[in-house]
Amino acid sequence: MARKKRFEAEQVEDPALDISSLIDVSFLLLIYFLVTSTLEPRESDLSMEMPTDSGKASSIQIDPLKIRLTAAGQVTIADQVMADDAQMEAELDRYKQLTDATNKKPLVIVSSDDDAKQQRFIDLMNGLAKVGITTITLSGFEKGK
Amino acid sequence: MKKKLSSIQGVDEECKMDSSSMIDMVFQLILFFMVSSRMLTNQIDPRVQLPVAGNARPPEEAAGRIVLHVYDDGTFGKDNKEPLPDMAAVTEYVTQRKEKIETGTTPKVLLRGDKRSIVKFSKQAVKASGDAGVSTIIFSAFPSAKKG
Repeated sequence: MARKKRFEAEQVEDPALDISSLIDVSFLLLIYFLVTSTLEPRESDLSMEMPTDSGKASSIQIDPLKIRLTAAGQVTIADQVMADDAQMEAELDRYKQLTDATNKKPLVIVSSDDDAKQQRFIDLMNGLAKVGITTITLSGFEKGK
Repeated sequence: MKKKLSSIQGVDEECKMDSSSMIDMVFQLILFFMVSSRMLTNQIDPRVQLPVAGNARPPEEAAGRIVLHVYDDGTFGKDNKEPLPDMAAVTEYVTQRKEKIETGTTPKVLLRGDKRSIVKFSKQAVKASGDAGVSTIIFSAFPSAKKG
């Protein structure tokens, strides 16, 4: 009889869920995200349509704009030396407006010196992207390379 | 005057810390990191120091991209950072990747050119891509200079 009473007393204990392990897992997840996340700037795109200079005659009549980039980073547009990037962008914008007004697709031929810095070339692409010119032709490829 | 501790009302109750609010806070933080973190669209190689272009736009779609690394010493690398020994290998790599791209998706070469390199290497990469039949080139750049 006494044994039975003791058994009943054990049953009335409050059931409780031990959540300490849940907190452990949550903190581990939190530490994982804190450690793995980095504050890197997001890589972005400068998309360009670049038909290579194959020498084939194009059926579309367009007025190409010739741009030259020297090894020193100097930009020349239609034989006019650009003093800075602002002047370059203004010149490109003027050409874009002209082609828009005449319903022609702007086409730019970029002739870059092999030794020009990549950053300077990207500055030029950046200027073209700013005015909305996305079709360019790269010229001056060395034969056999 | 003296009172036994056990005689004070409530002391004999079991002391427990309510940790539910702490769990709430931890879950809030986890949610914040999960939402704020982003999946990488491009395969990055930390050896390539990207140039800066203020008008570069965030990548819209990852499909159809053929990643080509151009290192500052003039060497080329695949998306998995495997080196490409010469221009013929670059053309072959772009051709193989192009064939794997689903029909209807325009193949694009994502040119990750190091800002310290010279244009010659980018021109070689553009030429090799053109030889492989890919004319859309995406130049990778940071929209603003990295801090620090």
